[in-house]
Amino acid sequence: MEFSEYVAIRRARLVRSAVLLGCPEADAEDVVQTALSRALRAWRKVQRADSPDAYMQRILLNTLRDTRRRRWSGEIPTETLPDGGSPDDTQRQTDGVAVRQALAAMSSEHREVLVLRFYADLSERDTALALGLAPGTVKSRTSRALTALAATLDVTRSAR
Amino acid sequence: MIHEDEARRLLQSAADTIDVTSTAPLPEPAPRRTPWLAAAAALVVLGAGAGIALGVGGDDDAAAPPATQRTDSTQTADDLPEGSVPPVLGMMVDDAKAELEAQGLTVRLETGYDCLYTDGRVMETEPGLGLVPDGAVTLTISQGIAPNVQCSGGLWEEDWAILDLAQGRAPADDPGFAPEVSVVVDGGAATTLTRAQALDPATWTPGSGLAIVGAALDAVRPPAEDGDAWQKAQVSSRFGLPPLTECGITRPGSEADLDVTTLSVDSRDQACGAAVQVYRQPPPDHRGLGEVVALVVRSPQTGSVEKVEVPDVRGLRKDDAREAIIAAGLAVTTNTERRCDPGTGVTQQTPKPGASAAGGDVVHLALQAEPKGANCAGLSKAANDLLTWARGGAAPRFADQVTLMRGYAETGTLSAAEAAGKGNWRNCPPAISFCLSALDAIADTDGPIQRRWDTDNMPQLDDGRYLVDCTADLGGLPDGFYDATRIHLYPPSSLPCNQQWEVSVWVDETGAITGVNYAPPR
Repeated sequence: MEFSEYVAIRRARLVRSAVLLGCPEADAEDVVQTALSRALRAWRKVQRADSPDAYMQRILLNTLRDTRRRRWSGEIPTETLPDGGSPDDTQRQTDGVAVRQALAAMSSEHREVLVLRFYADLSERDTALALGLAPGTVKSRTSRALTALAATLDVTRSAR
Repeated sequence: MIHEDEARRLLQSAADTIDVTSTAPLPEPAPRRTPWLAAAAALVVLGAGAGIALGVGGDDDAAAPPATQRTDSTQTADDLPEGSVPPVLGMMVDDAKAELEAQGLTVRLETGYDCLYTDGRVMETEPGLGLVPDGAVTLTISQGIAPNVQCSGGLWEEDWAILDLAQGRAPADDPGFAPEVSVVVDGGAATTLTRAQALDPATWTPGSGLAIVGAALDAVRPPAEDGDAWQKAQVSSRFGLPPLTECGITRPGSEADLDVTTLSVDSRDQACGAAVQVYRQPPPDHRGLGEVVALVVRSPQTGSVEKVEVPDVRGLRKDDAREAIIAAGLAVTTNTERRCDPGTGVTQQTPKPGASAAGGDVVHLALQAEPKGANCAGLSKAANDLLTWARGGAAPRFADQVTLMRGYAETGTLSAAEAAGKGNWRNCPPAISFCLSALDAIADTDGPIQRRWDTDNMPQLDDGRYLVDCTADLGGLPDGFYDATRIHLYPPSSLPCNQQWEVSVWVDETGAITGVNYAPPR
């Protein structure tokens, strides 16, 4: 896949991945732009990777880790739900905000594995490649992260 | 417990709360870092003792340094309006509080997270520097890096400890000085301090060594408009071996392979602010920061930033490549990839040769070396022997215990004697009555079996595309196998996806086979 084609298809998903991984929303587009710039420098290598998406997620993770001198309080800026929409939409947004709060509250290890497995939709093997872990570790960590997510969401929902 | 499909729905709902602009310019290759003035030069080096003795010398081929001149800060805290907030950013909370209260100001404390200011240091004041407070002054105290954020390019406690000394304060943390520390200022002769001397703020008298950096940090600039806060230079850090000549100042060369962090004071008025290069001896296990063996200080300089051409160092030995890069006025970092059949010298460089870079930019060099503890030759031989055996030849040599895997999941272990029986290799999952083994896959394949190391990319096809991984992933590799070096065997790439397979082989230090994975077609 050509770089421009990849950007057109994947950019929005990468931006959302970055936010879910803990990047402040205001910075996410810049971070992804930086990650894509890095990927462009090694685009042939990305193309050749067993899983270009896993490779790209790894670049994104590294870029996030390289983000310099960010002042971030860790707050989720979507406390106030948007007005309007159907009840289903409202419930979905409520869930979405709760999930973001839950992700922000959990350890980066759990957050990364959840975002890569269930939002970036990487296989266990590709998640292992992106995170530099053994696939078995990804499996067990995913299980623990899902348990943590369930527990946090229960607390969040019961608090409402 | 949340099931995987529910997890996908939840993550998608979270993602749906995030707005993304529909368009953005197509990214260009990553931008370079802070420009610095530089010129080519080469220097003589002296290294000795527990610390490192540094010396300077000339080279006939060295380019003349660009015209630069020293500048001095014009304003200090003494010039701030009376009763206004003094410069306390970067100070430890107790020191900052005491200073404000000594000026009759009331203090409130808040906390925040920051990559630059480490735990316990003031990261923000309200009102800002040089403004007269209406009531209390709020100090925001850093709690260090936010739990959900990882930073690089920030400062370590040890860096701040050096800046404490630079500003005439006792360091809040241990800077980690070696028993002897060499100090060089503006390319002059090296002096040696004992650890105790280096740790004594009184050593750093005005105009000397670290105090030059401290003075730059203490400088303040009045606001452009009344009512705005005064401005103060910020410190930044850069990791990597710095250019030999930067901002017209030539640093000492070094024979030793030291870690270098450059702490620079950014100043709007100068092309090159004051800086101190902190040379650390890497600890033997490469964990944590090593001892500081040298401090190389540069006064603030004015002058223009020069563009330099990135030299071609591909194929050069690491030391030669580093020398060429720093002689060109660029900083350098290296990374060694571990793989069997490693390339010689620098295998890749970023930016590419011939690219235009600002002096002082970092060039990243990639090198290759055999993985530590890997038996590359043994793997290669075992792969040959396994192929020969599968096609009717003699059995390879097996370890006492051989782990068989299917789709990366363990299916059982065999003794060496059992492994020598081909029938024992049909390690089917319980629900499947008949399945092929790695040996069957090899034996049934016409055409040459190909091989690649686990660090290699997927093979390239004739039309330039890359082979898609069509093999099934049925679970995670057993402990000890994921990180171990292995060799992969695979059939001709021309076979359709549903006939692709991969056999991976592991060996011990003697070359005996310890594990074989058969990844069948999906």
